[in-house]
Amino acid sequence: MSINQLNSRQDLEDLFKWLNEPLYKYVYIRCGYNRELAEDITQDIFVKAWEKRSTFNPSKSTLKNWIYVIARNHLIDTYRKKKISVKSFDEDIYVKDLNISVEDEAVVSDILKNLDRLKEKEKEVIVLRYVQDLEIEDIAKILGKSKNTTKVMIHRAIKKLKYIMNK
Amino acid sequence: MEERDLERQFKNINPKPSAKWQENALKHLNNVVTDSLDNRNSNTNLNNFFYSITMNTKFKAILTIATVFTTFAIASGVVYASDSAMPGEMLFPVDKAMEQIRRTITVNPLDRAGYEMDVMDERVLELKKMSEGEDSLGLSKAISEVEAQQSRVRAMLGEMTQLRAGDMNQAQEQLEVMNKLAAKIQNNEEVLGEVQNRLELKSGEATQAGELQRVRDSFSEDMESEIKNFEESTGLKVEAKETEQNQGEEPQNQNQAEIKAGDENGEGEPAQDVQGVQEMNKGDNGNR
Repeated sequence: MSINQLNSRQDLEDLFKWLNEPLYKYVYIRCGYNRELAEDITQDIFVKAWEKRSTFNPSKSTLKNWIYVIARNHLIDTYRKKKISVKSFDEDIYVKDLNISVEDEAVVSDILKNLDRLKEKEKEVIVLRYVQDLEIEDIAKILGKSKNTTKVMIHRAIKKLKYIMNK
Repeated sequence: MEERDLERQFKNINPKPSAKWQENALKHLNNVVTDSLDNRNSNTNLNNFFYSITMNTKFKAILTIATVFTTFAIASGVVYASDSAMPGEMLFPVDKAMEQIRRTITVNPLDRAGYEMDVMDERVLELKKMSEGEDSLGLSKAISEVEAQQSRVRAMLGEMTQLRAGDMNQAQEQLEVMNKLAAKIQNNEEVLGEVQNRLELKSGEATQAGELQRVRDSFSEDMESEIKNFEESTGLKVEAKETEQNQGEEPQNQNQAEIKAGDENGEGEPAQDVQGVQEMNKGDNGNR
């Protein structure tokens, strides 16, 4: 499913069905693996999208990129208001939420623990590129940076993660 | 661990929200949509409510009229004075407050869009006046006010697009507003261009000239796109012209009266500014 307008009740419903899971995943990893908080924030993102629908310009952006920008800004606001207490990944508590196979559990836990050791901006680009599987061009638009800068940021972040993990 | 392994493992991470949350969130969003549509009608309901109260008894009616007249007598002086207030002046917030009241009582989106365009004229003329003085801070504020008003116009156009999506019969009615918009953009672009030229020639105003350039470019680009979208989605042709009714209307305030005076001179400029602008254009030609 892919839509590029937000004018009616039906559009909002379609948008929710299309993007609630990817956005939840993005928020969940960025807000300290807190399931309830991630659900609240994800719902707020869709409410904000509806309230700001008149600012969406389909000739300038896709609806998907636009809502990721809203999600990103909303997370920053929530951090600023200190509603999020940043926690590190705890395999005993969170691994069951990740829907991964038993044999991959240990590796993924290790990756997420080390991901939390990166700076927030590095973590963000890794999540957008590898967990959300977004194209570099789309990530650049979401972050408001050039494509080349974004490519370099992703490359440096993944290299740093690899270095930390192999240390 | 290699990068390729990392990428593969990241793709395996797939936390999902609960089905119950998805169901509840959808219901909540439905309520949000309903509330937002109800709010749009609430102004009309409020008017009806006050109407029913005041028409209940003669006493209430007389009391209301007396109160309105007294309040009007006191407030009208302040309001009249505020209409010509410039950004940064003491009465400017009163002017903005009166505009906000007008917005609140203008329920029809097309009327509201027309009104926002009129206010945009006012903001542009205020900026022009500020550019003639030496108040650098007030000038920055006037540019911000123009940008803020442009955002309101954008928002109203967004609302019109939404209405059109629900009812294509709206297109013909909206054409009048779009024609007016195209005419206003042309007029305002001319005035803003002159203001920018003036700022570029003034020492110490280069930053504001740059800022104004950004504001102009962004708005022109958006409006071109809005007009194009309208034409493509409706098959109607937008022409830069104001409605006959609007042309015959009295100017809304002192600033608009000034525009009208300028129009009668055939210059689109206030009479007293014609010579100054011509001189400025001469200087500008020499600089480009």
